Amino acid sequence: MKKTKILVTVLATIGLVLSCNEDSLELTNPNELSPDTFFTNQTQVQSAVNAVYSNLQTRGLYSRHMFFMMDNMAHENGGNNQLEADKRQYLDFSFDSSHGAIGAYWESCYRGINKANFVIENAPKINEILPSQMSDDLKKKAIGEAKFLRALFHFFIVTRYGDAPLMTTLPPDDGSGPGKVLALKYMRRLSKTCKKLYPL
Amino acid sequence: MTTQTITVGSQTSINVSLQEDAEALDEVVVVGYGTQSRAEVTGAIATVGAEELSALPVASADQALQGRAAGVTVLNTGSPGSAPVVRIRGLGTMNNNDPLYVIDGIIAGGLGDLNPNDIESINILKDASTTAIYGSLGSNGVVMVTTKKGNRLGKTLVTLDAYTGVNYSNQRFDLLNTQQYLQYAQDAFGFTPTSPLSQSNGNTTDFQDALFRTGVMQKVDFSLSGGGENNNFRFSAGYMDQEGAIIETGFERFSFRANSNFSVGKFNFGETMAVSFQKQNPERNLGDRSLIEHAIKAAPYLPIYNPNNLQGFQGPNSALDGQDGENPIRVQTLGEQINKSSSIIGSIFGEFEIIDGLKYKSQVGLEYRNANTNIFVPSYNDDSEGATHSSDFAEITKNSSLRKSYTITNSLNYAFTLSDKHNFDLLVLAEKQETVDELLNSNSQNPITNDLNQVSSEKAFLQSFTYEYNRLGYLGRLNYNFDQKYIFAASIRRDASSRFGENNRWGTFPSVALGWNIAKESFLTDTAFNTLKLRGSWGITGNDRINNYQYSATLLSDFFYPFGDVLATGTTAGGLANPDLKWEETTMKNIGLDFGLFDGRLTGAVEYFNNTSDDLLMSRPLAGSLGINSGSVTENVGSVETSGVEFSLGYNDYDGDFTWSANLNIGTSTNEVKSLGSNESLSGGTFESQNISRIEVGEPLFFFYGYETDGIYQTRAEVDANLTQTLVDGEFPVNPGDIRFVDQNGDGQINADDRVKIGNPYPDFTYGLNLNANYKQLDLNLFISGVSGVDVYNTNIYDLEGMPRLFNAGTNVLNRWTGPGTSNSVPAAGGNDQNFNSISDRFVEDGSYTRLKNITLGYTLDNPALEDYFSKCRIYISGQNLITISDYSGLDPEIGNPLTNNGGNSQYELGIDRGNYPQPKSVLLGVQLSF
Repeated sequence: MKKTKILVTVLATIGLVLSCNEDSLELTNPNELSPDTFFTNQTQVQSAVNAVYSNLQTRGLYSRHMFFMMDNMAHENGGNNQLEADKRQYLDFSFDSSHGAIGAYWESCYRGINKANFVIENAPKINEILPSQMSDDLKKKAIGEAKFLRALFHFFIVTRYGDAPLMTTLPPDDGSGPGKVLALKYMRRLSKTCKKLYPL
Repeated sequence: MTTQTITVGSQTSINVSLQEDAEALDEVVVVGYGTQSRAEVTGAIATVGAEELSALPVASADQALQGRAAGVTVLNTGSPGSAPVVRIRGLGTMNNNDPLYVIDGIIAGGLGDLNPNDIESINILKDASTTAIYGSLGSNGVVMVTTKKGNRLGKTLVTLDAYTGVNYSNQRFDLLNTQQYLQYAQDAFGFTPTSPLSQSNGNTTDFQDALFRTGVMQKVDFSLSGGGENNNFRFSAGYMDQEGAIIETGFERFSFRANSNFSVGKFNFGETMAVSFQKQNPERNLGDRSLIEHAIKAAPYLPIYNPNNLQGFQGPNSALDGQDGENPIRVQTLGEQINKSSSIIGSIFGEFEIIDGLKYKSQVGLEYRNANTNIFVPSYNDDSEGATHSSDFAEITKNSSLRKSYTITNSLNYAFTLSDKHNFDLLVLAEKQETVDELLNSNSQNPITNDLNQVSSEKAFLQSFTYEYNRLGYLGRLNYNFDQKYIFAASIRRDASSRFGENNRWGTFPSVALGWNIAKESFLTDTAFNTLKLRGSWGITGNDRINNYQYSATLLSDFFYPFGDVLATGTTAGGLANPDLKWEETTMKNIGLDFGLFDGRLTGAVEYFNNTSDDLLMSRPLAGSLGINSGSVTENVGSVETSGVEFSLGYNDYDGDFTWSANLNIGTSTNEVKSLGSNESLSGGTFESQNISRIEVGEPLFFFYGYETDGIYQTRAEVDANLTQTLVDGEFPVNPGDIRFVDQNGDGQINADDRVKIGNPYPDFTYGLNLNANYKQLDLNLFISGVSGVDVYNTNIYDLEGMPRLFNAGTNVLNRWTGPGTSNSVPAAGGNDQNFNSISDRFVEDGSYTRLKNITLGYTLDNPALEDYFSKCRIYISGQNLITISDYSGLDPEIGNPLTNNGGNSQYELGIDRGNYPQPKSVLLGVQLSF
């Protein structure tokens, strides 16, 4: 009887020491910010909007490839012997879908759109920030800037590629891809957005 | 021992000599969470003893595992104190292939802190029935280390072991001397160096000789052990100091250990405690190039030292010398780099026998490890006329890391026998481990003085990280045997880890094994067989060595946009979260046959294994239109199948004055990638902006991928006959004297589509042969190890005869193509870009080798006059790596982890020689004393 008691005590000890601590398995990364705890003050909101702007200055857009692309295709540039092969292709329109710089342009635009959606989708959180922390005007401005830039990146896409996916939300967690949308539909949407942002 | 019956008659003294009973040679094998009699083992376990582990002058015991056990591959480097690459049964994943290390039951990060002389044995657990009990940690095999304990009821034993010796590397590349170099510069590149140093007396600097030296090594180990009826103890202290064969490299370690055990009634208590301090001076690198690469490329007319330059070194002046090969002596000796670490690793346990055979055990293990890297490079200038290499500030780097980890293991073990023949052994266990790593990196520059080796806020860089990693596991195990004849074993482990996503936090890892001791059957009694056992196992193991927090989505703040004059920081989502992320999983199958004949003189085992690894972590590229910043998501999608055969055979003649033994082991392992998810291929192992290694379905992991070569184009007609498109990349014309690459698809041009598999860096088989002989007081040991069927990508050849532009080179460039018929192996200098800027079989060599790893001759003094002082006194002389037979043209065919891995996944570095630190030869004189 005594032995049984000891056995039970021991078994209980095993269970006690270990099984109640499953909480220790739920960790958050202490080295990087988490999306769940972001958008709590004006600086954070502004930083998220800055990130959208920063995509204008990528190599795929204004900082490099875009001007080669536009100027060479328009033949405003002739190009000398030093012109690299992939930029020469703009002159004679011999590029195809594997062209690196054209891919970078597409990618830069959509990354800008994703960053804008990160702000827009978090609008409810932004609007919860106390007015003393961030005025309602600044909140509207931040979300408005994100919406404008999202429209601008879509405009870059539609004017060069025609039919392309319309991204108005953050992608699903499983990373499944979007479908194609007609360019015309875009233009309508874009003009609507513009009218909303800049009512005449 | 056999039982002997001696009738007591009229004699006054009775002499009984103990006789070994071969059948009952009941070796106890350490397995996970317990021990087992060798006869009852159903899994694949290889044991390496203390003598083998301490035969080599290595800092870490895993270096000494090479060639000692079938199926264990070890790749060493010559750098003192650097960890080797250890692979058990080959490669099972493109990610982390490192085995699990367990020291006295406590999970540890490696063996680097442990004095090999404190180790009693290492058991290598290779199959599911032995590794599945470690659940999500078991996939890559387990290295179980048992440290030495004192003997109960033994006399107190004091031992003192010491050796001293030298190590050196006498392999060199044949390089051009100054005269040849100046001629080569003129002929091949039309350049005449105008530096005054090139016009001087024609002296040649041998940078290789300046880089290598004869290093002195010494080691002293002291131990005190013993015990009484209810306790045992062992205390030890060790000191090791090893100068490397390359200047200013070395390793020093102080180690202390205290192990003890106590019995108090129905209680058993025990502890292990080890403290070690280590200091390493590593091979240094700047610009990700090895010292040996610098030594090849440096202009031979440049002296090493020049007192007129700041810090007194001489280096190139690009304009005058026409090249920028760095002075390797300045890289290695200016300032300092010191890696220091101190660690405390210990455990304590208590065990209580509740009823006969039922034991409750509770164990706590702790690991504390502090490591620092200090790098100090003062300002310097390698040429007062305009040096290519100079710095006008001192640069100070201080990085530190701290690890704190504890493991609690509680278990109940019940061993009992029913009806005399049914033997049961049951185990239930719960285990918890928590680990925190804290890192702090700092770096600053000091333009004012070289006298302060301290970081400041001047041009400072600061960074800190914290990583937490927690695990929880439950294990149940049943071992059953009927009269040691029919054996059954089964286990199941449930493991949870903080590294897994919330949808897959818990994994289940089962195993089953069967064994049949055929030698115990009546039809084999009274035959030559002492042992004949057939065993098989199946099980599932995991690999949780994936990055911490990899499942979670995080934000990045490295986006910038200038508003006015201010650079504003942008923050956005880094990537998609993957709550399904989990361990990599390996299904293991093993079948083995053990045999022992002629009273245990002849022993051996044959083993076949087949492992299938699934759910390997790979990143899946995402559609660009999703706009995800990382561009990909990490998922459990890859699959690799690995299989092989292991064979070991030993002969032990233990009778008479002359005794000898021979042990041979051979292991094979081949792997094939079965799935890469939606990836077509992956590549890594970057050299000169090109990837050498590749992963593709249907091929072995990390195979070399590039162009096949077929000699040199001798004439224009040959070029035209082979190629329709002779402009490479629309730019570089192919001319006579260029390499003839094989046009695999026959489209008349050589481009990326013509690349094929050009090598496999994993050996077909590895082997080891150990020979021991004893005659009276003399003992001799020979140990040979080797690998066969392995390819090495020798990037040294690029430096020696690639001729991309002017650098010093190997003497082979004197035999380069200069006109039709002059060479069919070394192309013309400065030819088509493809000759050197492409990965090709020009740089692939057979890396097979056979090496006399160790030879020791010992003599045990048997002088009665000494007996008052010593119970044992043995002196020995030994040599390591004295003979290596290989066709490999580099300094060392054994390619361990290189110093430079270009920041990528280091797994891809397998078999790539980037001018690695070669393993030295060494000669030692040692003494072993017991009191």
